[in-house]
Amino acid sequence: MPNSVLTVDNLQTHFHTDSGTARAVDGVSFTLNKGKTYGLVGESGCGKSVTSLSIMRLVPHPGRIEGGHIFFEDRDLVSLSDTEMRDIRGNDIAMIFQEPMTSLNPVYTCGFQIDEAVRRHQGLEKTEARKKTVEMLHLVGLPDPEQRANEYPHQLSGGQRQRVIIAMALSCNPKVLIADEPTTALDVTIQAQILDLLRDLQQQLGMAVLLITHDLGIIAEAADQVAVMYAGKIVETGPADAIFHNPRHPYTQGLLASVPRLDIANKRLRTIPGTVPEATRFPSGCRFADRCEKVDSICRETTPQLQTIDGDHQTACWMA
Amino acid sequence: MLLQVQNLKKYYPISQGLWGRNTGQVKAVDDVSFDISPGETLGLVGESGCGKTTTGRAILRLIDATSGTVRFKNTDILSLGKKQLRALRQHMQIIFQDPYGSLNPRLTIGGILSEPLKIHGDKTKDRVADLLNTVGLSPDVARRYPHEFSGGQRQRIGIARALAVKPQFIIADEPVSALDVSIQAQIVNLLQDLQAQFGLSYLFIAHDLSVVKHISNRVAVMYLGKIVELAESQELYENPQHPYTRALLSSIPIPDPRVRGSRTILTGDVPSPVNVPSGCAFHPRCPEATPDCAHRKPELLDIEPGHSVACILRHN
Repeated sequence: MPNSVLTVDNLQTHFHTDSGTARAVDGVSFTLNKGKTYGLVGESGCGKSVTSLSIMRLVPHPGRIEGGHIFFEDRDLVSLSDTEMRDIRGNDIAMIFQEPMTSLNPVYTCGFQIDEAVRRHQGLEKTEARKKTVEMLHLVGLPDPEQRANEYPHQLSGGQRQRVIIAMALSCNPKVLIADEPTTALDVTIQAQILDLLRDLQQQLGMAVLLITHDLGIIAEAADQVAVMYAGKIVETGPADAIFHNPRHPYTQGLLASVPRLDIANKRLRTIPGTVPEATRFPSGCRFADRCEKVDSICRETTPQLQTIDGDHQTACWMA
Repeated sequence: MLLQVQNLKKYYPISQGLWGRNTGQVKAVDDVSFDISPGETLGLVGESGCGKTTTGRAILRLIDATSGTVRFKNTDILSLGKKQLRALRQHMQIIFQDPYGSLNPRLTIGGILSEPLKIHGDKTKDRVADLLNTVGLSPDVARRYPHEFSGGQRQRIGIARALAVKPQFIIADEPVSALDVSIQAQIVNLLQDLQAQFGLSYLFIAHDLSVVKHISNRVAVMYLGKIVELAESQELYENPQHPYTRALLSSIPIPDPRVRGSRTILTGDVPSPVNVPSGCAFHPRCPEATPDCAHRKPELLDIEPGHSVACILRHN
C-alpha cells in the first residue's frame, strides 16, 4: 500500500508475572495510513495501551514483545537496537499520554523540555531550538507563546499542559503520532478544544494518528478506521461507519448499546453481563464466550479469526 | 418536598503570608438553591471545580456550609446538634466516586456492611446477606476483602453500604465515572432498579451529561459555584437556553460518525474560582456575550414553569 506508514503484524506482547503469563497483546495486526486516524477502542485491560507502548518499544518490565513485527519505513522496530530506537522515538514516531500532569517534568520550564527534543533530534543550536519551540507553541494555540515557554508546568492549566505536550510531540514533524487517551483527564469543553486541535494539525502536517481511547464518542468523532479490542485481541475492525452502523461482533454491539446517548431518548441501558477475564487465565476458544449471549459450543473450543464481512470490515466471531 | 436547599454558600478563605492573613475567598458554592421530591433524581452537572461535589458534601454536613439552609423533611440540617445529625444521617447516605479509596482495605465486606448497621442499631447477619443480594452479589463474598473485587463490584459494595441503613435519600457523587462503559451501564441500571424498589431519591452528581440525562428527572447545570440552568431532563437537552449548557451539550462527542462536526467549541479555560469574572461569570467564554454581561449579575429566573436560567439575554 503506497500510503501505509506503519504496519503492525501479529504482535505478541506478554507479561511474565508470578501468577503466570499474561498475554496482554495477542496477535494484533493493523496498518496506519498517511493523514488518517486509526482508532483503537476497548475497555481497561484490553491491551490497547500495551499495543502503543510496544510500537514505541517502551513496554515496562516484566513485559516483553514475544513475537510479530512492527514495520516502519521498511524497518522492523522489533529488531532494532535501543540506540536505533532512540532516534526513531520522538522523531519519527511521537506519543502523547493521558496524564498532562505527569508527562511533563515539573522542575524544567515547558520551553526547555521542547528545546531538548528538537536539539536531540534535529541538532539545532540553543537559540534556533527556542525559535522552533515558540513556533510550535504558537501552532498549538497557546496564547503568548514566548512567555509560556519560560513557565513551569504547574503554572498552566490541564488543557494548556496538554497543548504543550502536543507541541513537544509534533516538534520533530513525526510521521506517526500515537495519542493514548489524550483527553481523558480533561473536562468536556477542553476535550473538544484538544480534539479539534489534533484534527487541524493532522490536516496541516499529514501525519498518521493512532488514537487510543475507551470513549466511543471520541472514536466516532475522530477515527477513519476503527479496531475494537477485547482481552488482547482485535475482535472487529473496519471503517468507522461500518463499526457504528453495522457492528457484527456481539462485544461491539454490547458496547455500543451500553453507552447512554444524548441524542436518543431514555430507555434501559443494555449491559454486558460479567467482567473481562483475567489476562493470565484467558479461556480457550473465544475470550468473550462467557459474556456472550450468542455463545455456541464451537466458541468455547476454537478461537475465531478475523474474517472479512465486506471490504475491510472484519470480525472475529463464529456467529457473525 | 424531601430536600430543600436554599441559598447554600461555601466559601473557603485564602490565607497568605507569614501571619496567614485572609486575602480573599474561594466561592466554591455561591448561592445555590434547589429541591428534590420523594422518588425523584436530580442531576447536578458541571466541569471540575464548579462546586458540584462541595454542594453534595455541604448538604450531608460532611463539610460545614458558610451560610444557607438545607431542610430534609422540614428539619434544618445545618442547625442540628451532633446526636441529632447522626440520627438523621440514617436517612441520607452517599456513594463515592472512587471504588478503590472508599472501602477500608482491612475490613471484610461483611465488616464494611455491618458497621453502619451497628451504629444505627440493626441486626446484622441476615441483613448483610440481604444487602449483597440486593446489589447483585453473592452472600459468600462477605468474608472476602475489597482488593479481591473489580471496580464495578466494589461500587456495588459501596451501594450496599449506603443502603444498609435504609435511607430515603442518596447522594451519588460521580458513581460511575471510574468504571468502564459496560460496567457503568450495570451500575446505572442497578441504581434505577433500587430507586424503583425502595422509592429512593437521588442527587446524582457527575460531569458526564449523557449519564446524567439518562438517569435524572431534572438536571441542574453548575458553572463556577452557581446553578446556571435548571430544567426537566428532556427539556434541558432539547431546549437548552443558557449558552454554557448549549456549549456543554455540543462538546460531547456522539458515538455516531454520521453526526460529526457542527459543534460550538468554547475558547479558553474555566476561570479560577479565586478570581471569578465580574457580572456573569461565564461572559469571557460566552459566544453571545454583550457588554452588559460584564457587569450585571444574572439571577436564576423561571423562563417557563420548571425551567430556570441565569442569563440576562434570556430574561425579558
